[in-house]
Amino acid sequence: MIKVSHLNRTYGDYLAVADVSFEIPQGQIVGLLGPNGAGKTTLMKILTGYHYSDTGEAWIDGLPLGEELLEVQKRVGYLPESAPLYMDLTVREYLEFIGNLREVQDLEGAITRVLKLCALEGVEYKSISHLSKGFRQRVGLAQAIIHDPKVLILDEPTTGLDPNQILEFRDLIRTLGKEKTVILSTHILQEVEAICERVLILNKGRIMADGKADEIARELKGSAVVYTLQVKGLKGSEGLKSLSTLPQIVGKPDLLQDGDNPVFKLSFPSAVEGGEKLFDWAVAQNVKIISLIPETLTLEDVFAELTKEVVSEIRS
Amino acid sequence: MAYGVLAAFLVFTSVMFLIGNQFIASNSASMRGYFGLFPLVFIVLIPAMTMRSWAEEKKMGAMELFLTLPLRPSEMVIGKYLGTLALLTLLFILTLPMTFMVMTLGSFEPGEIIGQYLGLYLLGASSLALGLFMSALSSNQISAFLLGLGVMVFFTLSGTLAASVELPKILKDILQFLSFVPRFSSFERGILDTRDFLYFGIFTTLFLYLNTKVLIFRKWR
Repeated sequence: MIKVSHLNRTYGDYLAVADVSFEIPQGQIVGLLGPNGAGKTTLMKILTGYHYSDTGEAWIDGLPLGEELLEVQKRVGYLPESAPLYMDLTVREYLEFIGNLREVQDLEGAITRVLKLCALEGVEYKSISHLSKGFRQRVGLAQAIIHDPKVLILDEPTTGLDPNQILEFRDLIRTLGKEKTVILSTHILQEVEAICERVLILNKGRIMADGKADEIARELKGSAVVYTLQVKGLKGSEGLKSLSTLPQIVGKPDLLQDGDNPVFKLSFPSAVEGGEKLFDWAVAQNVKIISLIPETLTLEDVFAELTKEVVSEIRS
Repeated sequence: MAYGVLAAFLVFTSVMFLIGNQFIASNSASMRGYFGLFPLVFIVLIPAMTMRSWAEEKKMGAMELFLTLPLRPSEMVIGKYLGTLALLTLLFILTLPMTFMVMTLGSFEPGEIIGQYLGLYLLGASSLALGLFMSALSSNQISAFLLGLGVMVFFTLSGTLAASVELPKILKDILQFLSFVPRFSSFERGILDTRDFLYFGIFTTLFLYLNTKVLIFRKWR
């Protein structure tokens, strides 16, 4: 549905999008994740035809973005970061305006459909200036889907909403994603984990990772499981010595905190082996386990890991 | 907002004409005094009508949405232009009661009045294209207004300036040629010259065309 090939865009000296390529099949919800200034918005602006790319090509629904821009734009719905609404229009007037510009065939039907979908029926005749931020964002989304586009591009759609509104909005996006291809950008990691089947992590205009959130995490940390272990009944130095002799331990154990109840950090090839070995060890040493926490690498860690790498790359 | 501007315009021109111009006392069956006010008032009125058009969309972020709609830049520019032109047309319609009222007071030359309307309409329509272009160049409505005011002063008064200041002949001719007012004056006298039509036509087309270029240019920035 969307194909992007070696896209580049600079603003003066600033490299906003650098050699970005990816493909998205129909009906997938893809999250663009990255810190501010990573190139998420620029990439979206190129895909919607608001900006040109310097080099590279992109196709939406098989149509090249350059030559067939108008046809592409008919197939794309776009919600910019700050939904641009006309404050003095009512919700219905605004939707009629956009619908007319988009030459929607059955406008009345389309408006009824999006009002229902975005739960705006109650405020149809209210002036947009009287609506709360959550409602305004829904009006923005209604505008983006009024022509029933195949592709939906949402730039930080949940920014500025309260927690309940965020949950509602995510549900809405998930519903839309059943038939449409959705690209949404965010710097909220839970959002990607909550609604995206796939994530593209961008940093400094480059794609750092591409795949399912948990797969990316697994790939990065390898298959080893890291444990944080706190015990009672032996000294830190003694513990380190005996733990390092354990069979199958990966690397050397670390002492995170010394004292009466020392805390260790250590890795095993898999969760089954690690848990077993540590319990056996505790029994043999006659110590009590206070806590044993296997660490799962979250998207948060992945993100930190990936962006850290870039920083060190630049330094070296 | 727009209607407020129209109302202020109508009141101002009528009062100026009837009282300031001493229409009743002058005892001549001509509306030149009334229509002669328009080009001067347009200097302020036209920028006020066009200042919001692009500048405000940009400021609100609506341009981001517009440029992603399946519309050609030319379609957007013509749409905006027709919108302001409709407002101008409304304004002219609203002056009709005044005209009819005055016409009942004496034996007026209808041809002259039609010529005056036509000349003013062309003048206003060209100025709107100019004002829209200035709004497209600006990032907020205040600067759009001031920029529009500046160029309107130039195009309206350059002819008068050329006539009153010591300048090389060629410069004078250029200023005379560019100015609105000499064009309007011939209409005012009831003379319909193809060159004047051509002038206003080319003027309007040129600035609308430049306007589309500004919109396309934004995509590269």
